[in-house]
Amino acid sequence: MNPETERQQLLFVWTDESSLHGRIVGWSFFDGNDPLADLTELEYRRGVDVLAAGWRLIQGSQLVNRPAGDEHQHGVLEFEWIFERIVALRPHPHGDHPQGVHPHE
Amino acid sequence: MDELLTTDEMATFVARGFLEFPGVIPDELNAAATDELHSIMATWGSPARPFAPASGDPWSDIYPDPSAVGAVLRHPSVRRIVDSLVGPEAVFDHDFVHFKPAGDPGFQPLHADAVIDPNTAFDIQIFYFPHAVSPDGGGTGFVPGTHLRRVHETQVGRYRHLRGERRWSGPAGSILVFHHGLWHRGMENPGSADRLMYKIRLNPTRPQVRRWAADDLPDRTSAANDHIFATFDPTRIGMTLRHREDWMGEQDHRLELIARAELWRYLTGDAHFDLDWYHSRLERRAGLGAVVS
Repeated sequence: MNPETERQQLLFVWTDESSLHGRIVGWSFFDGNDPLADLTELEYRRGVDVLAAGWRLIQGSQLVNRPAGDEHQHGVLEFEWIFERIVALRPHPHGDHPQGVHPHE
Repeated sequence: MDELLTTDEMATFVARGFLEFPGVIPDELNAAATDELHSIMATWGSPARPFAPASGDPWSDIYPDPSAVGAVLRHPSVRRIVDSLVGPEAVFDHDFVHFKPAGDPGFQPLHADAVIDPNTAFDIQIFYFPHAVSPDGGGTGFVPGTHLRRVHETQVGRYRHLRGERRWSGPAGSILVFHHGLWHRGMENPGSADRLMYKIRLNPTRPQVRRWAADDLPDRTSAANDHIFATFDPTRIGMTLRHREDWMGEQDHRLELIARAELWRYLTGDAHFDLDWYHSRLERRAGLGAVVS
């Protein structure tokens, strides 16, 4: 990637089973030089739809057995996929991230 | 209004981790509480703060008369929540006044409060909205059904959108109550009105067993062998406890059923309660041979 002319977009998705054929149940989007970038709606229903749209898979979560004695434990979402695509650079759209600093609700 | 929560409300709380009570606090009390919350916010951390409770104080003693916040907390619609879920002998943990100005684009990462909590006994968090919150008004975001998962604070902040996430909106005087583990966040407020919200956390001091209006439990409870893949009664409480959120996969949902059955056992004192035979299958077979690990 040439940072003078291009930027990276990242799409994290979480599927409801360990295959890319799984239904997407969550997502987060990050866009190069736009700290406020977001996708409030996702056009892809399954992980394979993201792939078909031209995104490159750069990481999929490992499948990990739960340790003995802790077989029923659950916490974070297990089936995470990270995709990227490289697009043309554009001027910084917003400036610094204005996220608040007050205590968590 | 019933003096205590119903069995069905309790089952919804166990399954989804929250209950919502829109517009239950009257307008005149909302106005007085708004003034008091602004005073608390303006004096936070200083000796001038009115009504500053300390962690461990008895619930019944905090925000005494003539506190408007105290009047909200002791309103029958809130008292029935507290009495049913943590009991009237609950104690104060902490509280906070959350103010989100109109037009504020900042949002919090998704999080669970406090730290990883392996206990079955649980705290509650009450959210009070003294004024109406529009859909774009910065209402608290929360993800139903996440409360029993063992995560640590902003460990879940990576999740920007989860299917089924709620963003609170509703009339003035609305109350939300969360299981302490529910994932939630403050949201951006692109709307035109400032948003004020008060949150308080309470700890139980006695077992939370059948504190609600549980007289109908024998009629409402499901049989221990109520099993969606065998025979089941769709009119009983098991169907409420099986509620599946849109973000859940099959493997998520099965672990949820195991966790919810454990919580329902604790709340009812029924050590044999089960959902879909998951506990029963293992417990009945456990004596037949050693566990292979």
